[in-house]
Amino acid sequence: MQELVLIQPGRAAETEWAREAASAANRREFEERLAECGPLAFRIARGVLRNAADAEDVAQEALLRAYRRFDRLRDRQRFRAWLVRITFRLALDRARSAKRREQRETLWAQPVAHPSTEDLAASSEFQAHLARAVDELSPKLRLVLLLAAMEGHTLDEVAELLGLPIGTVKSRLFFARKQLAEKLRCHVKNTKPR
Amino acid sequence: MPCEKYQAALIDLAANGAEPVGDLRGHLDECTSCRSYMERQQFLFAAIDSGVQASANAALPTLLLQRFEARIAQEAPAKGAASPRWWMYAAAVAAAVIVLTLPILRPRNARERVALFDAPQYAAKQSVTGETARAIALDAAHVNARKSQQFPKRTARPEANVEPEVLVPPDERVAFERFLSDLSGKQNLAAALVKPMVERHERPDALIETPEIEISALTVPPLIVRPLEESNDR
Repeated sequence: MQELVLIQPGRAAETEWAREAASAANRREFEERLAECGPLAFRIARGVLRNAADAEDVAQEALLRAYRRFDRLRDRQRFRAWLVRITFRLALDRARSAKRREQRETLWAQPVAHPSTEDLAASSEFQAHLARAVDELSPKLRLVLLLAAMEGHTLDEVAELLGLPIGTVKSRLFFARKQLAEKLRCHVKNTKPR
Repeated sequence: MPCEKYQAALIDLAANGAEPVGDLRGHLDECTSCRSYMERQQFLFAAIDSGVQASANAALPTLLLQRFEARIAQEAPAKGAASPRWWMYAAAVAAAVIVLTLPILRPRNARERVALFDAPQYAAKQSVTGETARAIALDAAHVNARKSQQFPKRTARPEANVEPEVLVPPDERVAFERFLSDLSGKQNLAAALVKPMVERHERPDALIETPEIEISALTVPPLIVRPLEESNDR
């Protein structure tokens, strides 16, 4: 026995149109957030990878994933936090690749402006040690350190981004800096205080 | 080296960036080594902060957003192409093809079913004797033989030689039982049906006689032209 289904073309077109309109609205909303969140994604990736090319790749990938799943995000206010998590996870995955790590180490050591060549060399050396020490931090401490170091991020904003109490953020930041200091103490002897 | 008692407190103080208070402040005023250690720690944390900030606030690539917008533009048509609606259309077309091809395939099976079951029943019911009945029975036997060649496992059973098995569709079971009961009462007919198969080796098609169809001549009555009657609407 065959069943006959009545199809109403008008209604199908209406549904189609509504779906496309919703998709276009989603896209517009996403693009509005992109100007603000694109740099955030790049800087998180750059903070983990310390390589601009890799960081851009990861940021693009994270933004693309966010774009594909944007319609599934119920609370749009949490978009930044969501993007931070996606980017950080992707950046960590990328950083774990041994090949990328080698490339990153050779491209690392962006010099900070210093008055003399000696100081510059010492600083580059220190930055390399700092990079290794940051890599050895746990992801939780690392993300808080990174977000807190970004311009325009207060500790309250970091707490909001990560959905953590402010006290937790402060303690994580404190322990992160203390761990870094323990690892870098022996290297600071050669560097003169500025 | 700093005083051991104050070392940990000095590190925490430098890490927090707070001012020394109370006993520690008094000690720092007096002890130069602790003061120097404290300065080194403050420098260390400042260096760490500036290093992390330099890494975290790197300059953005100029075309970061443009490149990403271009990537989204590429993504949009691909997303549309992978839409589940495409599969729905494909499924609808496949269903339509199946529905259309079913009537073409069905008659063949129906013909075989008629040859297997309906033909002997028809012969028994109509009490057909002679050439027509034999032809139908031969046809049925040939179909059975073909079936047994197609499915040798079924016919290879030892008991199949003694009492042949016949597969009957559920909706034809009642009719088949009725046919069997009719057949059991007519032993002579069964013998008459089986005997010619053994004796004759002619083609069964030659035995089939189809009665001629009579079609009466088509008569067309002559057309009568009449004037239209005037209506009362005017």
